[in-house]
Amino acid sequence: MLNQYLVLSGILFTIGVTGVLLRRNVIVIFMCVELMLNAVNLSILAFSRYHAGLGNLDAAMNGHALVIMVMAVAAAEAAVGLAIVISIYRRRETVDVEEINLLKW
Amino acid sequence: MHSTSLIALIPLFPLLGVLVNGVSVWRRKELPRKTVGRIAAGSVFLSALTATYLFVRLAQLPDDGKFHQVVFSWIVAGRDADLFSIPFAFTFDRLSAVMALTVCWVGFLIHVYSIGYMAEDPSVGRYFTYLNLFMFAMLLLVLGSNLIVLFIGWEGVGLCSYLLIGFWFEDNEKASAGKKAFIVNRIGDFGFLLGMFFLTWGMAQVGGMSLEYDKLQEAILKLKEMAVTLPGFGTFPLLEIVGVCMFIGATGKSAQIPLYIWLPDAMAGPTPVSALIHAATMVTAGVYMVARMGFLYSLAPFASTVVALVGGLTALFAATIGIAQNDIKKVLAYSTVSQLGYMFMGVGVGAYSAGIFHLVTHAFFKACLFLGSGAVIMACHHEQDIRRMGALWTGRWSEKKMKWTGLTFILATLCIAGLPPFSGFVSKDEILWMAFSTPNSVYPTVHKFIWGLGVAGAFCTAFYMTRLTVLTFGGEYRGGEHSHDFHHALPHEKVHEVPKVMWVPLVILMVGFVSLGFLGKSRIFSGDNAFHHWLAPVVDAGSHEKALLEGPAGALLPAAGEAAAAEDPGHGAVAVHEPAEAPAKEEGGEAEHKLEMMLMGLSVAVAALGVLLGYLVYGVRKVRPPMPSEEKSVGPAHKALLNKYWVDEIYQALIVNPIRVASESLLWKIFDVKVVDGTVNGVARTAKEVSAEGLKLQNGIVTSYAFYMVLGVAVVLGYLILG
Repeated sequence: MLNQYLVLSGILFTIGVTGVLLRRNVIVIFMCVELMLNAVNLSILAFSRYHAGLGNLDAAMNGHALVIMVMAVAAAEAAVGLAIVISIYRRRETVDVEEINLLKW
Repeated sequence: MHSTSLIALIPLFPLLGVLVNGVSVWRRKELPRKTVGRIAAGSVFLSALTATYLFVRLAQLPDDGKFHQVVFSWIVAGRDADLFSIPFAFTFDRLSAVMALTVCWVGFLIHVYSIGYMAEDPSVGRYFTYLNLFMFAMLLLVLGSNLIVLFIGWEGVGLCSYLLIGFWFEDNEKASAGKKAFIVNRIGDFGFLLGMFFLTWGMAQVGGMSLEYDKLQEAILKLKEMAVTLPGFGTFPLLEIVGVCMFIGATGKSAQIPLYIWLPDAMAGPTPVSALIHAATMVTAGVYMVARMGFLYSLAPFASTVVALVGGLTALFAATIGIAQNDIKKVLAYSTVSQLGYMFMGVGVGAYSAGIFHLVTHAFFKACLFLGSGAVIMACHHEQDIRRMGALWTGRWSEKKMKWTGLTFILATLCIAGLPPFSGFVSKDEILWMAFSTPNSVYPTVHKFIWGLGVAGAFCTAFYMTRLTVLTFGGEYRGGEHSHDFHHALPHEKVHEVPKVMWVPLVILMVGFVSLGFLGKSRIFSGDNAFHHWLAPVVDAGSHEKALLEGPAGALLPAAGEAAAAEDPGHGAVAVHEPAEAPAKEEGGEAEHKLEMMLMGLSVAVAALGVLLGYLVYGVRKVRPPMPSEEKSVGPAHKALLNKYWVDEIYQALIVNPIRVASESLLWKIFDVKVVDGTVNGVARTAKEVSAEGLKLQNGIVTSYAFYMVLGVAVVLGYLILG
């Protein structure tokens, strides 16, 4: 069972990375980042379940707690990130990362 | 050893004065001028009272009694056998007592005088702060119970000397005179430090690293056995090396050949400073140090000979220069150098009490001379050239321009010239006699030679001092007319006696130097040398050690046997402490006394001749020193004296210029510019070039950052999986 979860997680993560690297739209990059986070969440849960075994729910809770933590952080990050995107859009009327390139040497 | 906590008060009072006056100067809340002077002089007066009280209590103790006070434990390192401990401690024994009394009382009088002298100066607060700071440092120097505390005082007085020489620092010449004094002193201090290093090393070998005088004295016989190998020079006895090194420090501080050159320039400072620091107290620190380390020097015959010889040479050398100088303060400066030479002559031949006695009498009469010269300078409206003075003390008493200044100055001149019954005669004659009569264990005839130098110097002293006095106070007034040498003129009517606050200290100092003579040798007066008896337990402690060597242990040690053989039974300092040799002394005593009287007669004759010659040349024949425009045409000998034997020029050419050229061409233009700056700039340039490449990574495109990140993760993962 673990293998299937991990393969799914790997595929989701790769899609996420590819999206971050190739897409230009900030919103899409953002979604891809979320995708990567959730891929990791998935693998954490799979490992947690795998190591704890079926009978030992207490031990499995460790993985669950971590995942909820990641979700909370991701939600916070999304709130800040989307706020920045809105702010940039109001100023520049674009969400293309190739045009948002002033912060450099 | 008795302890008392009063000793620390002596240096503490001037320190309080420094705080009060210094803080008010620093916060720019100037106190009233009178208050400043009163605080400064009052603090020194309290020190003087404390010192006097302790002196009275000390006199009630047995001969070798002393007071001791540990203020705090200062430097402590190591433990047990390796313990190195320097307490911040004071000792008030008979030697420190004499020094502290001299420093405090002469210092107090000079502080009082300064109130009058500096009355018009805008930065009087700064002046008294420095002067009190000097008193504090000087008292540390004389009261410290170990060499380190002495050394703090030693450096402290050097600092104050620098600050006060360059007191009027707006004048570039004065500022550089201060710098010269400081640098030359530092050269000497380096020798002093080396001496202390050697001594500490030696003490570590014999157990108990300490620089306390007591501990050093206990260990001195063990130290005598030790030798130091200097690579490339050979092996020398430790005590000789220490003695010579510490004397190098003394040549700097006490202005002896070859480091005397700063003292004449130091006359750029205010005149009371010249009196206090550059005549009465600070410059005698070297003499005090040698006398304090007498137990060491009396076991280091070679180092002692060096001390005596340098002293004798300086005494004559500086006295000859004094003959041709025309600045009233310069004459006195060379006179000070010369008199310090006599003191070193005394301590060098082992007559520590005679050297210290001359120190004390010199403090009084030279302070009087300097303060007198300050009064003259003030009376003549800042004229220092004796070619522009004259007739300040002529005519009837009521007509004399400067009654009291003149009187004290003339008596002080007779005193320094060495005419009886003044103290200068007594102390100088004691030194000359000790030089003549003490045998030298290294070079048998050298003390006679030194005596000859001393007598010749005494003649010059009498001559130049008479010249100075006659030209200043006698004859006709020469400051009134313009000439192409001197553009300013001061009518004779405008010359006036100085205020009372200035001449009263002069009179008190005069009483001092007239009466002090009766304390000293004065065998012709009372047959008893009270001063020597007072100091003997401290300064002749070395002869106790020497006597120990000559005792049972002496037979075992060939070196000690030699020392014993060289020790003449007639040597007063030893005979006092060795009853066994008393019969030998009585036999030789009669002949010796006759010889002493003869030499005494000789030195009186020499002094009288010098005074007479000076009077005849400048008083009767009215010979005048050449004016600046005529100085080109004087004879070669006169020219050499006028130019101070070109010593400054020689030092400039041999030492200063090579250092300057090497510093400029090598250290500055090559080492500093190429190596130091090259390294610093090279590092900066490399960093700049590397970062110029590196910053191309930061191109502002988020996608590329993400790519680098993924690349990094891939590398790390690859390493973890494959590596």
